[in-house]
Amino acid sequence: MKYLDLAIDRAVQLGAEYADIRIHKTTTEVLYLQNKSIKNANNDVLYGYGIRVLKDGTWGFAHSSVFTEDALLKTVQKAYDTAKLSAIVKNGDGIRLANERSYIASYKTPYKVDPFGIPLKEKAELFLEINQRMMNLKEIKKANSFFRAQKDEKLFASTIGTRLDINTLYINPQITAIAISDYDSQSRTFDEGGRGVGWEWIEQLDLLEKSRYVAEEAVMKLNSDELKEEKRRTLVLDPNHLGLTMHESVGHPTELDRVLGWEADYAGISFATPEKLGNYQYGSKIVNFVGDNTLEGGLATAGFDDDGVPGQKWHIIKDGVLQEYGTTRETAPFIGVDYSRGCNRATHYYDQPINRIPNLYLLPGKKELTPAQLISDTEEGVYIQGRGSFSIDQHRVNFQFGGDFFWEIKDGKLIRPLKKVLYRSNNPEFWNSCDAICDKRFWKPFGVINCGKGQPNQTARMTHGASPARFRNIRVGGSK
Amino acid sequence: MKELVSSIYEIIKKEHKADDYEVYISFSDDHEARFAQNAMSQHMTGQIVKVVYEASIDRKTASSSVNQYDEDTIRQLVKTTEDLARISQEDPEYIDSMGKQDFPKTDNIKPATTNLTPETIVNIIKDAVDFAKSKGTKLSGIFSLNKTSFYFYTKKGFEGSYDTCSYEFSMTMKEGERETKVSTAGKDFSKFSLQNQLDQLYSQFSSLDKPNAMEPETISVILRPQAVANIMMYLRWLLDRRMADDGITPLKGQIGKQFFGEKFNMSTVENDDNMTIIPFFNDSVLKQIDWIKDGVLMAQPISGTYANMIDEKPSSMFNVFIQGDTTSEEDMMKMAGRGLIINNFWYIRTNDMRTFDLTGMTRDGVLYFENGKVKHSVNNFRFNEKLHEITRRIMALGESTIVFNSSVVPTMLIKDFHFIDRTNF
Repeated sequence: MKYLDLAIDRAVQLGAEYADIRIHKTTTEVLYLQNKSIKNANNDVLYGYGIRVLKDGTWGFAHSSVFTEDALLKTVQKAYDTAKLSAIVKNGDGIRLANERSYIASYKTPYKVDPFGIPLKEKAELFLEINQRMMNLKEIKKANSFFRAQKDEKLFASTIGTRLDINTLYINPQITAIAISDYDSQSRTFDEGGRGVGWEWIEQLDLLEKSRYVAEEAVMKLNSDELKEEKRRTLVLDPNHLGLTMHESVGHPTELDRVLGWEADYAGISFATPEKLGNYQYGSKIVNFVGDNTLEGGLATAGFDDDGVPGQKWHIIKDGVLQEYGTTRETAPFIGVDYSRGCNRATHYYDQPINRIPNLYLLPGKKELTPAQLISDTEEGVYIQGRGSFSIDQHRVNFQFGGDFFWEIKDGKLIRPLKKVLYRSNNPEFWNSCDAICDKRFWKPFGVINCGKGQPNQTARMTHGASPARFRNIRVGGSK
Repeated sequence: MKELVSSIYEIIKKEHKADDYEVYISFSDDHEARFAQNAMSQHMTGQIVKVVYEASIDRKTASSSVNQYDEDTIRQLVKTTEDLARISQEDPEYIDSMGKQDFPKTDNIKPATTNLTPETIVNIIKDAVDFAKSKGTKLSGIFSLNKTSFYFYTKKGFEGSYDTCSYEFSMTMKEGERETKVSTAGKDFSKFSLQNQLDQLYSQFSSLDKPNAMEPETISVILRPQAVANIMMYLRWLLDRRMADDGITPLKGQIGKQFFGEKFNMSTVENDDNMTIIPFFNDSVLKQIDWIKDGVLMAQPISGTYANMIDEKPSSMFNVFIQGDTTSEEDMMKMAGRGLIINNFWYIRTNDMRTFDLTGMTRDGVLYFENGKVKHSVNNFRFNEKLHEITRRIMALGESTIVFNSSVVPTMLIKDFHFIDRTNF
């Protein structure tokens, strides 16, 4: 596309130390239903370009949605001027980018059925039927369904000669039943957080069948008991729940920009500081976390990041020890590393990319272990499914999580459903208390599509994954 | 700008075949300068355009948006939306778009703000960073500037527009484990004083010597405005009438009753010197509303759809004004005798909507006071608290001040605040 060359040529003429342009079109379709009412049937298109210029060791970023040569050249100039202006507030020589070669490449999310090709009527009928079925139980007073499909079409060029054509796609279905009585209300949700696949996933999921258990378990939860007291208990956590736990307590602390203090004013920093690399026992010896932006169906899998760095797979925690961070070309040199792990991503064309969590998952246990064996081997504890309330401090040490559904475990059996369960723990206590992880047959990926970070806020997506795992001696109770 | 917007709207009026429609058009000029660890880290500028068309055909509704506004794109926007609406499902809760209505005139445009230049912004940051360096500390933060023009049209006759401008500035000062933050916002930059912000920041920072270890307990707290705004903003969402009537929150049948503490007053105002005033949403226009008066729940936000179902008028919480008083922090410390001063809260989430049970943590520094005087700083804490019960334990209020662009809140002295855990770093 001529605009790519025009922008890069102009940035070089101006004297940019580095520059890139991202022409980015985001198309989203959202369907949201409450009970029998379609509250939102929406199609949005955002199309524009963002230009990043590095000059005198500082960034300038300008964006526009006007596709004329004149507007493009003015936007390059604005980015350049902004960078020059910023250079009066820098440390030393400012920013130096990690080494990277140039690429001419393309990437497309593999899928079979284009979700945008499925008529809205068909989607609406499916989710109306789901809501109707959930509301067939008299205790279910509210039923919500949500479907989102998004495609991102990006053209990227940089002054090191990289030219990329990237097309990604993901979908996310969610269904929620809310059971309400005179004395309480409780919800149950099916939400795997989205996946980089096509409509064929919806066909595999059998959401109509899932709506049955979602509704039944919402009613069970409504009528269940709360834990009487907080005390140290054993937790068994399902992969969906672990997805959010690892996102908050491993993903964010190992973003290198947070480690460097670049998010100190808002999202926060990290306890996992560089002197801990290679020696900090983050988890028990069976805890292995991998960053993997090559994961099939992964929400952060895009071939390349917004630095033009290819997707990679690497250990962030190996045998329980902190090994590496998620890095960008900008952040890596600050810890003396001259390569990036490819974690720089922007949400929309008007966002400057920032250091993001990659697809990050807990490797399955090496010994054969089924969830049933895991529970039968647990004398007393709580089994948590799904995601609930979550809250973690700005250093990513202390946290309190809820869940979506809870079972009390006694003498190796699930004896009764519970509600309003919360657990509190911290790093490194929590991951070091992990004493069993089910094997690879039970490993499942779960997506996060609403990871908020940055100012102004950007919403990124990535995939996590795990097999069910057990944690000993964690404070578990209710809200008091 | 108005001519451009009119030309876009004319295309929609000419092309549309819908029974009803809503059109939103906005132009937003943004400038954001972020700094971290005493250096500029991001510096962004540009204009974001949005054209939204929501169409209804046979009580079936769909909406689409684009950010291009050439004639072909707008025609396609209309066609795409109406095609979506035709194949959608009839909405049993369908309502017509808002008809012609008057709305309050706003005074949101301030030359001191609209004339702010990138050079001024960078120089403010440079001065702040130089100050931090002179104190041997690291500074991180953001200066953001926004100017927006917003237009809204409906087929049923509503035509309205408004302009806003606003700025926000925040700074976090850090050295070792000591860390604190100040932030300010408003529509009129002439009221901004960097020196005042730096004085406040350094005063807070200096008070945070090495924190003493303290176990969680139930104790009086002085919540500074940032902390109050961050916890009370949950009421913007949880007061909703439909959620109450559905039994999701505890407010069913509570209108006219003393559900909150008698010192607690919360309203939406039509005018304020500092807040950006939005004069209308798509289903209601701004008016002065007392949501909570002397602790009595007086009114609840009601969406247009739900208002139609229960035969009420729609209402929205356009902004939040929590009435303050004149009690100083010094007097609050004397009243409480012993307690904690909380600069800010962080990561507040609902544990249980039905009981208004929230969790969250302190942030940006906690000070312990005894016998009416600050003794030393202490570690951070986690709390689990019921929102309405906090308001029942208000002992005193300070002067109200702007925190976010749509919130004015006071310092609050609350007794028996329930901390459940230490947050150790």
